[in-house]
Amino acid sequence: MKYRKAELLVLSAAKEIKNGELCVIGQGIPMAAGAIAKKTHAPNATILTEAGMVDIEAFQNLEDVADPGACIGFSYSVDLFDVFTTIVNRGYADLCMLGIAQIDKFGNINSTVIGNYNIEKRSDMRLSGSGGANEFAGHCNRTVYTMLGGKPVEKLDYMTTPGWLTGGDSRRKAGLPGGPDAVLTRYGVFRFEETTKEMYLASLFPQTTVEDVRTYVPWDLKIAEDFGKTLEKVEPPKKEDILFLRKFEPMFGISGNIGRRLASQALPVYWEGGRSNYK
Amino acid sequence: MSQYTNKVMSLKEAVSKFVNDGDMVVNANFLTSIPYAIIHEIIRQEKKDLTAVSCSSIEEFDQLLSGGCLSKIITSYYHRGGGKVYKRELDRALKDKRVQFEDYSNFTMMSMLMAGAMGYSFVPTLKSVKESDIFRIRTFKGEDKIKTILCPFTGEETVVVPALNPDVAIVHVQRCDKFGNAQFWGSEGTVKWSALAAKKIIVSCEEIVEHEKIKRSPFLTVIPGFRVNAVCVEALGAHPSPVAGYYNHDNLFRASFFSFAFGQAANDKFISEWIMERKDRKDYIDHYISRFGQQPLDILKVNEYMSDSVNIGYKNLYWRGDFCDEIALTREEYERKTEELGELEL
Repeated sequence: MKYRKAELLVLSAAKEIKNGELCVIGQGIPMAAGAIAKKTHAPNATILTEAGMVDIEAFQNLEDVADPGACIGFSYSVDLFDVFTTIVNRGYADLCMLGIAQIDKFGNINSTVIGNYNIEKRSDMRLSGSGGANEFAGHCNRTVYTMLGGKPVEKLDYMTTPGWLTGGDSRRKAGLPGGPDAVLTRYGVFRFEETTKEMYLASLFPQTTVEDVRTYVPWDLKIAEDFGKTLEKVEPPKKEDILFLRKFEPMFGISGNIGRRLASQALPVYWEGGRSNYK
Repeated sequence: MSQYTNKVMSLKEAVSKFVNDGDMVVNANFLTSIPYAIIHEIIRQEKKDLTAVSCSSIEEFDQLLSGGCLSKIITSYYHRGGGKVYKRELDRALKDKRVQFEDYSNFTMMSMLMAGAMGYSFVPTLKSVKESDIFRIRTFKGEDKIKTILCPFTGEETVVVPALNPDVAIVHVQRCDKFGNAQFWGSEGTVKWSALAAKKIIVSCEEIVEHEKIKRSPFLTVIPGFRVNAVCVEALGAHPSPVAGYYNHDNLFRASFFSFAFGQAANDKFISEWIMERKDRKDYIDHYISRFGQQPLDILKVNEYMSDSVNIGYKNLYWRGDFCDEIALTREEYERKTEELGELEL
């Protein structure tokens, strides 16, 4: 059977959540990763969202971080302020998993604007903005990023969220705990070297080469071997996990763009009741 | 603490594991649902040199003082019943210099606990306290009791209090699951912030309920399981204080405590009869029944006034049988698409 890189990305991201951990999940891919982790190797993980739904077990992907309709109840209902103070700032969030658009060598993130902040050229584009990312990645004990559409850059167009700042101990000097741990992309998984905090290629997806990755990353990318580590090969996913994911969120199997096009084309039919099984 | 660890244990075990001599202990309940079962166990285990913290206390600190457990008290209200001729353990302890007392107001107390719960090192509080001796007279907290700073935005003088993070919170709630998701209702008082401020939390509850029941009303959860260290099932665990939905004040019993508390010898007798000689809360209740009969307890039971339940709902948005609403494809069409679009081969 065929599957998509996006699906492998989600399933690999799920593995970053360990059993028993308390994990804050952001919009999109992380939500699916959280649900899959709970369904597979981490049934005792506590998944929570920024909007204050703590300990959810979603049966389908959440529309957004405030979607109680995607799970049957949950344990603890608080508000956003409680999440950031009593949970994150107190150090109880083992990790946060966030989708991103632009990342630099030290894991700093842009999710605000592509190009010029004042939008001058046609190619300049506003993104969503920080949302919860700044403080989640700034204060959780560990950060895992998923980057499906975006890319690594030499210099961020806007620094929305601190990673390892300028590398080395600069993040600790700024008084921030935690820090980026992994970046999951369409090519494989990147991690950060312990001392320099430079992002390197730690594992490679199936049917992908290091050369593919080098064209994706604009700087002189280091790979695991450069730091005396082994470059891991990511195992192909289990069929049952792919099928679960497609039930959980069908978009990843066909890409969001195609899914949205299909949905909009179907809309007039939907209104006319033309689909017999739509009753 | 993982969310999914079974934390149910006896109160004896919980107190011996999680309360150490010299600890700062916060009673998270506010006037109602006082965690007496836990307090009596602390006294029985003869914990020493504790700093007791609460916003408003009734008789629980008198009992802890009688047990010789406290060296310091930080509070804003210490209920005094009986009029000016009567003296209780607190009066004797202050006179004998057995305990140091630091005075706050309810709001400054609460602000310190809230700052602690949120992980801030201080928070601003309301101005009026600065004009009082609460601000001017300081005992063991000294300089660090309350301070003023200039607001960097308005330039105005602002009163600030430091965060308080007690070593352990003790709290009595109506119900809890075995993982420690503690649900409390009635008057919320200080429960949430006081409990969350602490480093460890011991919860006693009227009853243990299934996790499923908790999930149906997540809004009632005041302390999440991942913060809780021990769950102890203690029916009537707050007697003689009331628990919303379960029982009311046992004012006759409280009055008898007051009348005993006025004299040292009588007070000692009360402490040994109702605390030291009792094995646990069940033994305390059995003793109560053997002394006074079942009737006084039956009278305490509150009438039923059920809360309305609400639909928190869920909806399968994507797959309706073999049809996916989100992309308007049948399962078969969808599978053909995934084969067509898949970049990798399994």
